[in-house]
Amino acid sequence: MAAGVHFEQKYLQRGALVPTAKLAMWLFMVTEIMFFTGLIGTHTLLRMGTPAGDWPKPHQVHLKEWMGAVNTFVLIASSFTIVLAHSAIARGDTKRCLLLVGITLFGGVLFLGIKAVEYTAKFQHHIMPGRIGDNLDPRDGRAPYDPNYALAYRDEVQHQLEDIVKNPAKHGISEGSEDFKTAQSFLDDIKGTADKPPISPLEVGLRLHPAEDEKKFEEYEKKYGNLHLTPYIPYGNLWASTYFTMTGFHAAHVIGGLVLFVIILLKGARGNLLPRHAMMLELTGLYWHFVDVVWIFLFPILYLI
Amino acid sequence: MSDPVHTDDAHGAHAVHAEHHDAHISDKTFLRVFGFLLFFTAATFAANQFLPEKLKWLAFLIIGGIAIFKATLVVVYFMHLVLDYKKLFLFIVPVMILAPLIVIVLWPDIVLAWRLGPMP
Repeated sequence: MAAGVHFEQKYLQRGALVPTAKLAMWLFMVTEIMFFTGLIGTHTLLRMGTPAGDWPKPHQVHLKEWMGAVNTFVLIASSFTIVLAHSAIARGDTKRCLLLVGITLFGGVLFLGIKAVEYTAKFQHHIMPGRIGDNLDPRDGRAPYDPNYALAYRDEVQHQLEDIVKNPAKHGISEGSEDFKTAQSFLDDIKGTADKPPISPLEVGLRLHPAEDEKKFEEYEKKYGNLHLTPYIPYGNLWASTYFTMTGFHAAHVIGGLVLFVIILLKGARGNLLPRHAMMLELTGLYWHFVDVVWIFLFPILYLI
Repeated sequence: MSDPVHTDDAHGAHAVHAEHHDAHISDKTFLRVFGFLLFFTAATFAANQFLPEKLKWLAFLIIGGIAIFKATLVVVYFMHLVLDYKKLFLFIVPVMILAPLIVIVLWPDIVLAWRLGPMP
């Protein structure tokens, strides 16, 4: 009997000095680190695997640095409020806790709202995986160069221009305006005339190439910005694939956090949120901080360097 | 001793209490960390905006270093690893080694191969 008691004591001493739920949460988070490492690592390798300087610059793909910075601020602030919410419930102040969870929820929604604005701008400019004009120049040695793909790109731009010329009001362009004239003459160049052959897909692409040089980029935006034609951005499709995969999965994690906040708020609304639920707040907080940490890396990788 | 943040919940093991008897992070500390995070976010933005093209490598180092530092601040204070069960590092440290290695092992094939050109 004594031996049994002795064994039990030893066993207890060997137990982890951390609640099982928190242990599980940390295990979950390290698997999540590997998940995002797969995505960020793929992006890094693809980016470094392109010739130096060829990876699209943020302004070429309609990324606004300040929007990313604002979103970073929003996420850090919401991390701060959820940590205070946990602190409040640990003191037994569930009312303050609920208020802070509400503010955190608002932060998460604001983050997604800004992300939605950014996504919309990309969709409008045809910056989507597989939709960008890419690899149009047979001389730059990228394999495989496919002339059919290049012709398909020219056809796509031609259809877009025909639609604008046929139905300018649908695109918010008035007949006779500068934008309309640009579209008309561009279409003529693509179709060709009796004495002028149609311009090549590469020539179409070079006109619709958002320049690296910021000044030239402004000129391009002024001339073609309102037409929303499919741009020509070398490696743009790779960029779009990695951008939407990384930010998409990150946004999915944000939505997951919002669901947790709503559950806590509903619990509070029914008067069921008690100081003994501090662990629930702590685990939710851990998850939300993880989402914040991922964004701390995504922001510079996508918007800055 | 105001604003304590317990590292365990109400049903938490007594052993945890025993180990971290007065372990807590105050709201004041959280506020300070929050201030640091905001300051370094601004510093990142400034390094990107104002360093000339020639010093791109420096901007890269500053921005990368700040990202790692900010993430460490969040993990250490907001996720209170500073006073949590130290054996949690048995999960975290191997992953921190594995994560960069996964990228590094693919580096020669995907990045270096074409940069170095054909073998002499």
